[in-house]
Amino acid sequence: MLGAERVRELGKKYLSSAPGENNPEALREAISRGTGVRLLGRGSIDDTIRSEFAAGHTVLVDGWVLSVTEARQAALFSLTPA
Amino acid sequence: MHTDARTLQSGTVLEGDICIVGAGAAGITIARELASDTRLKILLLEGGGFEREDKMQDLYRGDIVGEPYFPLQAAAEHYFGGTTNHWAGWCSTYDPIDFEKRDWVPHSGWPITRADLEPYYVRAQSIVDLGPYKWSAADWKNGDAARAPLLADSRAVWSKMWQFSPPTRFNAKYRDEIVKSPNIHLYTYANVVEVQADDGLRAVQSVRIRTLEGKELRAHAARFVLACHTIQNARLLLASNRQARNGLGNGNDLVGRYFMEHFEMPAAELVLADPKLTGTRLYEFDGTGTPRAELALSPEIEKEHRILNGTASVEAGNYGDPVKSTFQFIDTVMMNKMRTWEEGGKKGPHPIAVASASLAPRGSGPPRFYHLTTRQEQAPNPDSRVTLSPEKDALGMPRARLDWRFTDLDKRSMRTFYEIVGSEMGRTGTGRVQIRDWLLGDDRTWPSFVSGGWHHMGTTRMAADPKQGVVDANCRVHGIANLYIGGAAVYATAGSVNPTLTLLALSLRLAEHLKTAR
Repeated sequence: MLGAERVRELGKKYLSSAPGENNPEALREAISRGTGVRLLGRGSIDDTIRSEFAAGHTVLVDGWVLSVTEARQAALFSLTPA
Repeated sequence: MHTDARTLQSGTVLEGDICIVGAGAAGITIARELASDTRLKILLLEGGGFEREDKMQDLYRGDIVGEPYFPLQAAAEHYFGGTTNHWAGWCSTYDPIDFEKRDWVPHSGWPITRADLEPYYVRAQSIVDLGPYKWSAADWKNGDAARAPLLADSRAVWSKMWQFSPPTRFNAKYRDEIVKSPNIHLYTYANVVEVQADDGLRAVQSVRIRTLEGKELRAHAARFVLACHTIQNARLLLASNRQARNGLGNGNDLVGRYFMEHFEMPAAELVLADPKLTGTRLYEFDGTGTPRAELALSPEIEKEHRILNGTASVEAGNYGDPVKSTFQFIDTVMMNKMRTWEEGGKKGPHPIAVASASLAPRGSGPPRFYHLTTRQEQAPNPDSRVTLSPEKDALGMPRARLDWRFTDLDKRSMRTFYEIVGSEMGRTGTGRVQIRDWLLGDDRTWPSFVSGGWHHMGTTRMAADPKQGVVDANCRVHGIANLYIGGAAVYATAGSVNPTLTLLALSLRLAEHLKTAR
């Protein structure tokens, strides 16, 4: 929806505001906690993201209203080689 | 009947039952309503003539202090028809919450309800040539799936409808009717410079009229209605200070305070997840008068988040394109272009369409990106006010001084609006919202392009308590038996949408009161 480059930039910006999560393992762990399961598949992540939006569990990253889990996904993406 | 006041001898006294000062949307509507009672002799005093003239507009020039504002002499029209001579015709109704006392909005609450205005809203439609009295999105789906509202299942977001007047120019539409009316006596070039009361300041006896040629007249009537524009009403009361040092009706230092506008500023972007699956036609402005919607928040959500009432327009565009605020986009140059285009018979595309062409979505297929532009009330603020300038106009009357000010609640409300809309877009998988940078900072810093919509409200606000407002629920000035205020000056809060339709409804209601309460 936003394009790979923008997602990568958003990931970097998220990490600059959450330096404690600035490594892949920490992010994977946080995303897993967010889903309540360990990365079982795309469907469950989508459900989590929608639930987070419904609950107002969101963050502003460069002005984008994102669910916390998708912000962390962007951050994880930004740590992978382009 | 019509008389050019410049042709009268100085010292002439005009006599009537009701004297209306100002022949704009409010004054003309009140006069037309009263005219059905043939026993009434109605004086309608208009400061300008039937055409726009720089020397008459100059009487509206004033000082701008506080937040930057549009030149006052360009923001309102000073001739027969008033500001309907340049309005865009956008109409919508106020929401019930706009009239309610909201504990999170200081000074909110009207002494009347939305339900009180309902029958007058119904009648106001035809005055400005609107369609049927239908204001829900379902009414305007027109059998088109692409006109389904966004976020239809949301308890937080709904779609508020707009209808479009051609726009009706009161000068063109009602001039002949007024001039031919047997019991309305219209005087043009009759600028009222002072309202004079009896010794006890309990009733108005007359108004003093001047022409630019130096003639001085007087009008006597049993009742008076000031309907000469939000800023000018306050200016006139404040300048009527020979008998009351702070101005007439201003015993509680409220005249001129609570000046309000609508914020109209680009505030966010929307990117759709799947443009092919998401119809947005309900939100399109097609320029042909088809009603359209804007996104709005439910009253429950506004209450929960303790924010003001507002909407967002949804305009297809390109990500990253510059988007202007209303004051930036429709500057005085654009205003002149629009006036020339209309006076020239509306040949060729509308000047706004020409200027907007470069911002049209590029690429093929349905648009993915949309600009979201805020339209929001500002919180009633006693420090946002009209006072008198030391400078005087050509009639010797002190000019207005506008000190437009904001509160933290204004900006926080806008940001929260988009956080909620963004969450709802995410929850439903419709798309994502990006809030613009200027809205992310602290709540006291405003961008250079801060903008209203030339919607002037407040300054003689309505309240049941004389210590809270200038006029009562019947638009009568507290403490003065026969002085009324017409127009948006009486608004206690600004609502989220343009003020004209509500102004007309209130005018009809005031006229009914004047006819029945003698």
